[in-house]
Amino acid sequence: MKKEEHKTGIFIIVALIILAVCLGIIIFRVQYLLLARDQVDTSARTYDRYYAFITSDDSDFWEEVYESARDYGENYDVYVEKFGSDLSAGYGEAERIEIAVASGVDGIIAEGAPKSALKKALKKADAAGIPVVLVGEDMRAVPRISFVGVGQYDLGEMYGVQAAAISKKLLNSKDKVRITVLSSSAKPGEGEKLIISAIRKVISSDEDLYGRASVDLYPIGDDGLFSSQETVYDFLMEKDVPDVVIALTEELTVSTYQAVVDLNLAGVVNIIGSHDSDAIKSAIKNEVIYSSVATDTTQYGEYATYALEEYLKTGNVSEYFAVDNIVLDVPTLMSEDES
Amino acid sequence: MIERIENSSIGKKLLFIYAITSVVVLMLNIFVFVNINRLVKELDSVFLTNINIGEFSSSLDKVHTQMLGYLNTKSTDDIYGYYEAYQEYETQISLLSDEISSQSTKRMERNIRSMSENYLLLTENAIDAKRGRNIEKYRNYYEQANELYGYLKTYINNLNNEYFKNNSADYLTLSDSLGYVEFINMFVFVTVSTVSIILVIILANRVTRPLKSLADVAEKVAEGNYNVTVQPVKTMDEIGVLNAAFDRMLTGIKQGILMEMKLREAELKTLQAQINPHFLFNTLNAGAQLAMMEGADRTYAYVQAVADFYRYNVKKTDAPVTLADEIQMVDTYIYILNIRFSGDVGYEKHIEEGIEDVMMPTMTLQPIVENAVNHGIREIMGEGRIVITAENDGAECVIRISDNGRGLTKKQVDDIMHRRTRMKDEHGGIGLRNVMERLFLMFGREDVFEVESDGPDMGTTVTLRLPKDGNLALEDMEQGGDESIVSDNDM
Repeated sequence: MKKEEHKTGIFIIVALIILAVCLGIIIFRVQYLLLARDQVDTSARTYDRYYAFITSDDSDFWEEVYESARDYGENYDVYVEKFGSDLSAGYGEAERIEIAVASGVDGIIAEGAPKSALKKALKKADAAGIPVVLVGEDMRAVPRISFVGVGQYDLGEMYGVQAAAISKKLLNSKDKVRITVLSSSAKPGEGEKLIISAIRKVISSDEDLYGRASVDLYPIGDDGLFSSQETVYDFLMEKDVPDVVIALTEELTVSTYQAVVDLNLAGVVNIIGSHDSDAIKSAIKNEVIYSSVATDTTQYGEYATYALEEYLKTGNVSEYFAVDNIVLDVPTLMSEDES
Repeated sequence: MIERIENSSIGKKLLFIYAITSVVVLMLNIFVFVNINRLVKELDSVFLTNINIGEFSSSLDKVHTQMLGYLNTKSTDDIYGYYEAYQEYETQISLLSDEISSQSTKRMERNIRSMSENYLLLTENAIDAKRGRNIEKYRNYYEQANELYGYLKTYINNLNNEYFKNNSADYLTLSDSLGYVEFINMFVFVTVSTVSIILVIILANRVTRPLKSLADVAEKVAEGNYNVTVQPVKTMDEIGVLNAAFDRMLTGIKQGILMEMKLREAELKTLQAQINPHFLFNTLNAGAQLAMMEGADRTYAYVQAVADFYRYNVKKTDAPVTLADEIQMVDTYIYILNIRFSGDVGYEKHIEEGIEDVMMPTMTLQPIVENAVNHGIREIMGEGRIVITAENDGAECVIRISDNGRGLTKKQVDDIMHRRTRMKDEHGGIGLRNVMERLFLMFGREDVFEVESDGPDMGTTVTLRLPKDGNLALEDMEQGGDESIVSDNDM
């Protein structure tokens, strides 16, 4: 009898434990799920200032620059937003600047371009008392507080040195070498003109190349949707393809590389590209791209945010911040991998 | 607490089991209901932000339409409509976040708020310019406002999409929670129900087990097996009480059986003891036959009379007999006495005809006569005389046994009538008190027996008043007596 009572007692205790565990699971789980919703809100952070980062495209290059600018801003209680990039309507750069102005941002980082709409938008920003830092390309007669970019002439010289090295190798087997510079705009801006000028200077000043290597410009343009890639393809399908192609943007570099592979022109057309994306690095290692001139995107973004911060704090800022460039070729990438 | 429950009634125990399981299930239900209710409310509010944005967008449209209407027509209705829409929109703007947050929706709200403030300013300027009929100015303001309106609509649309995306995620989470709660609910219900059923079975077994044990014992007892033991039950409920009562009853039955066995044994011994009188009167019969064969007629008559006397004595005393039998017995007794004491006892009898068949208990008259001889006439100087009269007195038969002996004092009469005398007389007879009690018992009344005496040396009269109409008790006794006689004869 006692034994049975003991068993019953154990059974009741076990049953109560199971019940308690079940109830515990429900309470825990439901509370957890409900709290999980609220926690999304609590993790949000607020900032003191708000800058708009506006460029003409969403290339990896500008993405890297933006991330650098944003990360730098985090340290100064600044939120840098890639403004209007996720809006459903495909607004151009000028429109997005106008939206930023209407939104009352504290500063604007915008990519410069010789466009009147952009100028107009930037003037509106100035009228609203919003400081603007230009990146990529500087613009004249525009009320900007600073410009952050690479030294175009220095950049041109770097392209020129790379082009000269390839040309010399090619002249061992042929009489003349043709170097074509692909620019992203239909009408070259001041920066592009400076780059071409520097390339020509380097080529012409080399005795081995004098009179045997020519440098010309092929404006690809960015007016139509997907037009640049198609234009590059058409260009390389022409009968007389250049020996060396210098692509001045990341997009042009990838488009040229892809066209060379597709048209079986590897070894015929030597590419000197821009930027250091993984795809470009991979192409250099595969020796489809000879080399690439990459800009320090981290420095780029940091300078842009810093320029606005400095201006808002002190009312003054340096007019120009030069960003460093480096040449990426097979040996440098190999040593980078080794390190 | 447990002890109290153990000792409570079966009804209360069952109520306790039911209450416990009901409370558990009720609590579970309340808990699940509260959580599901909460989740449902959350679900209801999930898309509230989208609804609010929809209202906000409508409000913006209203401002724009009213402004456009006024700029077109300068209508009073439009200007009133404009101000109304303006106020409504302004109120809604104030509800938007103005934080620079890492959360994109809040940043969007902030941008919409800033753009909306600028937009309202432009519309206000346009309205003012319209009032001032400055066409170029209000066109310019309108164009700017229109441009901003486009941006705002895009932003609002984007914010709506963003909220919808977030809310959909929330909805899915809540939907999952609901599914999870449903699953757990089912699981817990099954668990609790199973546990409850097992608990009820165990507790019901605990309640019914002693009952089953008791039923088994009762079954064995019914089959005649009294050598069983009732399992003790600790609880003080109905089963405990029933168990204890049955135990007591079984003990009683066992004792009763034991007593009966002893009685039978005693009865057997009594029957064995009765063999001697039988042997005696059979022997006497043999002696009487021998005397007759030898021609000793007086010896034969005497021995026969003694034999008759003992045969009558050996008969079961409960069997009723007729008055004639009793008188015959008295005749025999007096005859024996007169042989023994050489005719000292004078004896007369006056029996009215037609009453010889009146039934009466056996051995009634002989003890009275014996008493009269022993205490009345034996010690008197003259001849002792005993007179028996039996006569009809309506519904009764009155029998009187009188003697002329020593008589009785008033106190002695009282003592006899109040049964303060001994059961047996000192000579081993049945005794007067015994006769009285048997008569009272059998006829159910006390006036059936009466002793009278005028005092010392004045003789004594015993009067019996026997109902003639027979007596049920006597008839019953007669039947019982017949059986006894049969059994005696069998001996």
